[in-house]
Amino acid sequence: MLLPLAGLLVGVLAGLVLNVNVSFELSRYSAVAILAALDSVLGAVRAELDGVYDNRIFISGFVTNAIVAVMLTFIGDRLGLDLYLVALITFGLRIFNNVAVIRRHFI
Amino acid sequence: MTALGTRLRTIPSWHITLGIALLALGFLVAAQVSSERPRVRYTTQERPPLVETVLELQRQQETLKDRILALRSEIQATSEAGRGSAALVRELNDDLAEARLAAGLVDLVGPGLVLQLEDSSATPPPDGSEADLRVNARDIRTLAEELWLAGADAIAVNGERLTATSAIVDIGGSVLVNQAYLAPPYQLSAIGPPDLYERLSASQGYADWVVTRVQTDGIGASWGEFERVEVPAFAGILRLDYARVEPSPAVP
Repeated sequence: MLLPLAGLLVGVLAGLVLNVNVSFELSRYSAVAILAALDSVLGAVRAELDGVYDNRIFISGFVTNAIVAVMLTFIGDRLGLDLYLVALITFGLRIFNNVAVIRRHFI
Repeated sequence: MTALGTRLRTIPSWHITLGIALLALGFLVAAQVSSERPRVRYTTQERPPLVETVLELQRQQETLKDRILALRSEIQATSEAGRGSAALVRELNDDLAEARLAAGLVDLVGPGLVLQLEDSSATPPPDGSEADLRVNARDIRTLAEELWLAGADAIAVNGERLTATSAIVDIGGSVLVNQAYLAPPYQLSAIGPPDLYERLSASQGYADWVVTRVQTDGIGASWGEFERVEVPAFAGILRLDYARVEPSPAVP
């Protein structure tokens, strides 16, 4: 379990050191993408703990969820609708569910 | 190398995938956080300067508002002064027009009378003077004076306007009016009241002139009353070399 944590640490350090600046207009898109990625990661952990983890499903879900969330936000902006709320609510609920399941595995 | 390869092979594949995914996630979070930091700082640490800026802008706005009000009142004052100037200019123009009218410098039209004088066609008597049979400057002066007395506003002799400086004198066989030599017949055009001829004929001076010059000497005199008589403007040079206007005490 050290490798995922090391990956997270390296990613955070790279982000801070490289000082990548997300513009104000794109910050909502990246925030939604982060939420989608976090949902996928927690889903992967949960699947592994349940013994049903599949690498292909995780990778495809990780990428697809982020892309769909960003596209939803983009379309919402063009239509004048807050469609990103759909992604926020959906991913938020799933994150809480996954965390609850993971928590139960360790209790 | 063999030990490292063996160890890597022992790492579950989902760890590697998850590690890469978390690396991407961590990178995104760090980028997002580092981007948000300046905005957060701007709204928290920089708040006092922002408040100062806002207050300074408000002060500037108040100053500009006062300036607008001051300029507006200045514009109003200038506009009112302009209106005063315009009224003064209009008054001066009216005075000037009146003065030009009185000086005979403008054409005039109105109801009036035209008198025509012609030399006598009679044979001069052996004891008389031939000059008595011709219309002379005195005849014109007499009729002009009688017309003025009868209420004429403007008079012209053969198109020469009579003004305050007009002279009517005999020069040889012709009459000089203003700077023009006139030849008979002489037409006196006068603008005046509709009953100008009645007034003229009622005057003693005109009656005496008719008796003396028309009935005795045979000078031809005819007249006509018209609704529209044209009296042209004085076309000569109006020069006042020595006369000056007395300054009005009201004018500084």
